[in-house]
Amino acid sequence: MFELAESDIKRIEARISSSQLRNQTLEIDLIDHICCMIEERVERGLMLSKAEEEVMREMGEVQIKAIDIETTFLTQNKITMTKRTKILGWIALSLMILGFSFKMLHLLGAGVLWGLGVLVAAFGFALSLMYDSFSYQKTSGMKIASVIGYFGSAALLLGFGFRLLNWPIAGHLIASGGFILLIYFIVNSALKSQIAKT
Amino acid sequence: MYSNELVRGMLKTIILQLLEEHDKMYGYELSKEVKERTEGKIILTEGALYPILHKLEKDKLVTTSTEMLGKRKRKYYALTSSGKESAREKKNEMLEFINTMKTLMEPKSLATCLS
Repeated sequence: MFELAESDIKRIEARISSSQLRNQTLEIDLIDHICCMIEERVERGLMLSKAEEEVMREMGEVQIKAIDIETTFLTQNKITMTKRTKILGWIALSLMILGFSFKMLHLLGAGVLWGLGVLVAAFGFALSLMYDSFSYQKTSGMKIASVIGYFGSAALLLGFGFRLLNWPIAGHLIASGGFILLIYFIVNSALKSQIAKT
Repeated sequence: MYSNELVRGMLKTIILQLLEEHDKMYGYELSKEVKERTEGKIILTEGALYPILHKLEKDKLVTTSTEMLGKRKRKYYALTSSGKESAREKKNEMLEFINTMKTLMEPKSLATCLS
């Protein structure tokens, strides 16, 4: 019976690791599965390189990510943040805390720091979170709800950010953000109850 | 090969049934067994298999153990006591469903049997 060498297994492990699975426990399953697929093809007479190429085409990054998303959906039933989203969230929070502290201490640059923090929060963190949610959702309705949720939260974040800077459109942004988020919650709960029924 | 639409709802039952027949199985073994026993009519893809196995693990219907196979790890899945119970329930439900479908799809043959 043909068995893959350690170097071949390491190559497959590196490939799976590069996919940055949200569900780390899947890694062992997928590495073994891919190894088995290659070994079976080699046993049937295919060259190792050809067998690996064939399997990798069948089990590419897109397929691996799809398995990861489906597993997360079934086991966690909640959105898991990617590393990118978490980093953006921390940058935004740090800038906003720094900006707020500068403002309290009447130091120069408070507005710039706060403004930057709000922008990173609205167009970095919230956008990235929406993308995570978007790729995780299975139905087009839920995907649309994710986009609505993003616009609502971005408007709200900008509104509160602008309020601290005493910018005139802050009130409008807060009101519209709140309204959009209200629509999001209604649509989201309606879709979720529909999914639960089916 | 049967359509995904037809097979989707049966996958959990199929996996539980196979695990009940064996002490423990690994993912690839499960997909290979399904393909062989159904002569390729039902394909248990990785995209369907692993999410279900992980859900079964989360619901405590299966337990996992990891063993070294040469230079790589292999995860085995085995039914828990509640998993065995669920496998029996699912099997009975499926057999009943098949009978119901037969009566629905072949009303004439049933009438002949009854007469």
